[in-house]
Amino acid sequence: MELIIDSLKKTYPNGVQALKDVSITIGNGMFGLLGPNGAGKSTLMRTIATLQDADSGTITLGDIDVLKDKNEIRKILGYLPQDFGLDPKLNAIQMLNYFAILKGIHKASERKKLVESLLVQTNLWDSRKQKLGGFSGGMRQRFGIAQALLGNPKLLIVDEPTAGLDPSERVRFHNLLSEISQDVIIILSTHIVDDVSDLCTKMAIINNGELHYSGEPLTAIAAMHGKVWKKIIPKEELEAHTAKYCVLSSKLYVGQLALRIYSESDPDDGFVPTEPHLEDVYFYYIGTSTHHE
Amino acid sequence: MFWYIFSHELRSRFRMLSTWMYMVIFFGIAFLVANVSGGAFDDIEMSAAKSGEFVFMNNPLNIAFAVNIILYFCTIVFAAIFGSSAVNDFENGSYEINFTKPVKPRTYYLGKLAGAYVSALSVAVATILGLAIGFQMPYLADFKVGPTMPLAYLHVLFYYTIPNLFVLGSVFFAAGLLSRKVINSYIFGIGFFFSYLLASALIQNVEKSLLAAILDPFGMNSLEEISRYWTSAQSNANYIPFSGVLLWNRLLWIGLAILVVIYTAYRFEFKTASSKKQKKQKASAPAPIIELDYFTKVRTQPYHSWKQFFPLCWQGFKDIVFNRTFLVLISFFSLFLVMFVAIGDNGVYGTKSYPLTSYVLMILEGSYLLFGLIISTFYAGDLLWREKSLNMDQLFDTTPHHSYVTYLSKLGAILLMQLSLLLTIMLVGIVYQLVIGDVRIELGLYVTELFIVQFLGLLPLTLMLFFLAIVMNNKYAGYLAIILFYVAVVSLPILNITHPLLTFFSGEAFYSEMNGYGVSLSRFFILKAYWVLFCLILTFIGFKFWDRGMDHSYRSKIKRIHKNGYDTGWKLATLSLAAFLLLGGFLYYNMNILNDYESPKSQIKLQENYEKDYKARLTALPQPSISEVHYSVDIHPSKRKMDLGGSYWLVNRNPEPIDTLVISYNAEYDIPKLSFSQTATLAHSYQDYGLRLYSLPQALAPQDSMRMEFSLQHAPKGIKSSGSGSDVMCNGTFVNNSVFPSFGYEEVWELSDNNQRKKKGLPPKPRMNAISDSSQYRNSYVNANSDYVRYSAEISTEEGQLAFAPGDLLTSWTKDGRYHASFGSTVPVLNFVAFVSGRYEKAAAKYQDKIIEIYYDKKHTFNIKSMLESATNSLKYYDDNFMPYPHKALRIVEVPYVYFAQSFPALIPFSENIGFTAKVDPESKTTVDYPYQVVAHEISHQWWAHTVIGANVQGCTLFSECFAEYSSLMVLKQKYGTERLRRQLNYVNDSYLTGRSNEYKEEQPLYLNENQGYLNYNKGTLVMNALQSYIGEEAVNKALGNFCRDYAYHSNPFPLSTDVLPYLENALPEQLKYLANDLFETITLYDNKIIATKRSYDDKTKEYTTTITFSTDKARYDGLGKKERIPVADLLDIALYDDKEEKRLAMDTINVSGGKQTLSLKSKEKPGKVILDPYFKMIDADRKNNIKTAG
Repeated sequence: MELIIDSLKKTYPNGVQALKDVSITIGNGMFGLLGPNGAGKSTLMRTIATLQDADSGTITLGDIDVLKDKNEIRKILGYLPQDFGLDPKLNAIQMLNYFAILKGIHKASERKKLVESLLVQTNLWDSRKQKLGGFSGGMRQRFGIAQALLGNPKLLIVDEPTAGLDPSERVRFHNLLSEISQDVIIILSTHIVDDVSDLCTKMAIINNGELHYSGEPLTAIAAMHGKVWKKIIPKEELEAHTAKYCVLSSKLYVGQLALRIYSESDPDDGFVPTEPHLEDVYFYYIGTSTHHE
Repeated sequence: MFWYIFSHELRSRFRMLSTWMYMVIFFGIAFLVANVSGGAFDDIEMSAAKSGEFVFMNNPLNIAFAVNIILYFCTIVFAAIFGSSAVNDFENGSYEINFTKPVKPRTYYLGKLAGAYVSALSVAVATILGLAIGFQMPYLADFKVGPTMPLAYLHVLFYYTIPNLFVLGSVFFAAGLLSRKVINSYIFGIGFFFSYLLASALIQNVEKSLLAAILDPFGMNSLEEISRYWTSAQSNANYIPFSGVLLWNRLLWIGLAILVVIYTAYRFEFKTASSKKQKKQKASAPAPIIELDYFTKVRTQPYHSWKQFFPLCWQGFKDIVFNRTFLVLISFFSLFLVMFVAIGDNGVYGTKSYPLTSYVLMILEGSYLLFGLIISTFYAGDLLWREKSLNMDQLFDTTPHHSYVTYLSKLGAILLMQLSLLLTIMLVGIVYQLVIGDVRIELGLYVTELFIVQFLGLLPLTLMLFFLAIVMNNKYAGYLAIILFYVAVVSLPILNITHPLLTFFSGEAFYSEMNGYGVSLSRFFILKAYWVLFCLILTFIGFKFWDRGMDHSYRSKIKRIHKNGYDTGWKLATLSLAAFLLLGGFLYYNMNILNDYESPKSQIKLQENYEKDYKARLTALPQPSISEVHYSVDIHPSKRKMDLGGSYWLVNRNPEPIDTLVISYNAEYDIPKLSFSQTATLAHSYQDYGLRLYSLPQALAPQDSMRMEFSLQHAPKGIKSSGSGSDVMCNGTFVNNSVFPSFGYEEVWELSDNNQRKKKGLPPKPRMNAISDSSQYRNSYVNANSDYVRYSAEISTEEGQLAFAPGDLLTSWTKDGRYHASFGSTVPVLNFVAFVSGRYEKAAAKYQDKIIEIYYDKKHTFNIKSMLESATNSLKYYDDNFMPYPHKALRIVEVPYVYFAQSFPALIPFSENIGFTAKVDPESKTTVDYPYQVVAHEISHQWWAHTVIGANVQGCTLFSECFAEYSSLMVLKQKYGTERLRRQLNYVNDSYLTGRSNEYKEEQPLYLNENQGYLNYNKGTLVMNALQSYIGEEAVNKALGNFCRDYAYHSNPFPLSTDVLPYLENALPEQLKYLANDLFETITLYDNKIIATKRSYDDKTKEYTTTITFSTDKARYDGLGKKERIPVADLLDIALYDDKEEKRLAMDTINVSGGKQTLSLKSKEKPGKVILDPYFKMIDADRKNNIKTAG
């Protein structure tokens, strides 16, 4: 099954063009969606998740017209928004059971077992009877993942899923996702480039509502082979370099700046060639050169 | 630091729009109230502490009442002001900044409280200003608005508003601050709101009024207690005295409020996080052994909306109910229910009824509408916006469910919550019935009344709540819309909109013990169905505004609605609309075409026109008197129809011939036949008034007579806009004279309120004809143009029921499934008749050759024995003392709904509500056996009304109601003794004083009374009791007996009150002659009081000596209650009683001459109470200070 997004456009009432004619095709497996804040990622994801209407364009998943048959897509959708709340007065079991009802798991015994298995999967078993109001950010995030997995979705949309997770939880989550990703479309929106490079077989980069790249991360990295150069410079020289070169990134490095640039040919000037990373691809496509970590 | 916090709070309150809005709104409300009270709008009257033709709406009492009642109804606004001030720092997160500043928690608390207090006070001051300015408007009616008394406004501010806001504020603030939740302030707001209602229920009872006055946190009941006996003149002149019960009330509540402030100051501390710790997790159970990838195997199943609906509905219900807020609310609610049911029935003279299921329900369910409405409003908004306010909406909206499932499940949750409230009511009721005992618990009635009638009663409103909440697109805008909706609904009657198809809450189900719901239940259902359909239209439309996702703007909603086109939702809305219109059309056809619809305004117009168009014309036409009647009444209870027929012999008792007959009949009855023994032609027929004019070509000469025959038909014509549409009940029909034709201009149809008459350009109308108006001497006060008549009647009803008419039963038979009976009388009777039909049990007794029968509903066996005993004793007493009873039998027959018993010749229809179900314990010294007395009273009317009856002028009821009260008091005394009457007389004394205080026009001396209950019943009782205390029962009976025999069956002229006074005066010994003047001819009240008592014990004589210092005072009053003191020269009883005031230990009667006097009384037993005038010989303006603990 493929999710086909075709010429999607959305302009908000305040005039912001969130999506300018975006077309992507997404197949089974993990799909990374990269882009800075305000790029249109969330608008795109919400549109796919039936929370927003587009001005024009189509989204289809198999036979389903996502923009029209919202209830059809909801049956096979798992969605984890970037920012969400939960009922502070319920405990994890009650809340997850509630969502299970909403997801259409009608048999009570099945629902119970499902809720338990997901709580174990998301490492919330020990906190299952704790009121959600007392959950930490990480626990809440894991709960969000659990509810998104209810009902074995065919299309899983996760927006910044690993934010707030500690490294071991993050690994656990990644494993979980890759386990189920075989016949599921997973759209992972993030601005952590490493998440994409670790997990995704396909990716897209969007900025200012436009699609800048769509394809496989490895292909993108390979295409930049031999075109990324680095150099250590004092801070005060940054401006001169920015003006002169296509700077991908600059990071602090022992009091000085480690500068990476894109150049088809050897720029000399003290630059040495270096292996391209996915991050370089990302910065290249969003066309910005100043990035401070 | 205090000043910093205080001024900061104050500034921030006054920067808020809401503070200014409250001020403007409150000012506006008060201004409007002043205008309405001042008569700025036609036909709208404002309720007030005291009202009357001569009472100013801006007197200090009414001002205090108006300010208090406005602020009382806005308790919840003050909860909002104080509550939000208490929690705003927590809600906006700034508390962390505040708490790190060098300020003590106590200072912070007091500063904020003071700031909130001042802002609340400014709202209250705006109210007072609104009222003060409102009353200055030049267009107000001068008879409603008196001279401005500026001090009155200051008094209400300082006595009530300032302390009340302190009491409310300290509690609201503490509740919000300590819990950090504003909802708790609201909960206490509701608590305060109900506490006043509760205290008000108590104050009606004179024995508990003091308690009620002190316990009411608003002090409004103390206002009522203070002015309980104020007359019109006093109300206009007196300022509220800040003493006594008001002072105690204020001290009590201010004291409590100070304690709350101190407690809060100590309890409140700065903490950044909730102090509650998460409960330690128990040793964690091991994770269940399940397949780790189980979750990949369970798939979302195809839509099963019902399978989602029920769990979601239940979850929503649990969210509401298993929550501390709701638990607090429901405990409050239960507490109030328990208190209401415990005190709700003040009974008659303090004697309550058995807690029959229908009575308990009536007391309890009253609070449901208000409470259910408040709670449903709150939770409907809360539940609808729940996901959004928890920021859960994105998770929620992307799940595969139909939107209507969640919408309906939320509605279902609210309905379940309402059911839980109703269940609470039922449990409280059943427990109460079990505790009191002796009654059948009617579960079926509980279920019908609560889960059907009450539940359906709130259903349209609940749908409306959802509609408004959704369409307003915001929780708080929704609340505002709902409040505006309530205001609109409540103000409809003011705009003269009263048609059931336009009034949202129309449809009421009346329950009677005898008749059940009758047809009112089906009428209720059909009107509720009408309103539910109306709300369903809105619900389906509203549902279109219910959306999912991120975009909630109206623009996108409308775009979406437009895009979806004519979908199922529209179809359902159209369908509902069609059903609504169909049903509405059907109801309109029933109410306005089959029946006549009259709004109160058009009714008034009709009355106005009747007087203007016909009075002059009709009163000029002499009319005949009825001298013989024959009635036939065929009642069909199952069809609720009635066929009437009959004939009159008419005599011309006028000096001039009669050429036109003016015949009035019930306009709702068909009159197929009206014929005369001589030629008469219909000259005019005014169907609206049921008025026909027949001209007699050959005039009826003086003393000549003629016969008239008529038949009338009455059947319900579909559904009426009000009432059941028929005078015939399924069980317990009771109709009287008014169903038969009568002669002449009907004065009773005239508008009676003089202010209203003034606006309509009508001359003022006396409440009753002057005693000097000899033109009325030929009419008795119960009906005009009728003598004592020769009487016969036939009545029939369906088999299974019994039917009764006045007089003696001649024969009865059953034929073709109908019961027939014929009645007659050997003596002439008043043409004052009633007809009754119902399913009855019978109890019988005999006095000499007279048969006494009571016909009662089989459920009401409680007091039959005692009522029979009373009837027997009464007959004997009146036979012995007045005149022989003229009929062969006497029947008391139970009837539903009404709250009275009425005496017709040998027939007494007696309401199910005033005796049959009273819980009388003859052993208990505190019970007043009122069923016994009411029976005796009604039977005495066979003499006092049916043997002698007054002319239709002032004072006419002196020898009907007054003497009837006296007679029954004596029958009661015979059974219970003099001491036992004291409790009852105390109630009667209070009723007289409150009655004269609430007099709408002017009070008259008793012999000129205008049929006011407080005069002819209450003052009558006191006066006659005094008389028999002074000169003895025998002397009084002798005088009454003589009068009765001398004037028996006198008509044309009927006797006057001045005819009986000489009999009474003659009975008085020389030294007591002044009593006639004091008791009957003037308004004379004493004000005796005990100043001090001292008790000592002599060991030698083994006697107690009690020294009593007391004072006496006596005054005459004019009709408005203006007082003029007169010298005292009376005999006063002073007695010592035991603690319970039941046993008299010593008594002395001394001459008193006004002012302070001292007296010593000796007693063997230890005295408990000293009582002045224990036997109520003197009508005392304040009885409370006639009793004092000895010592």
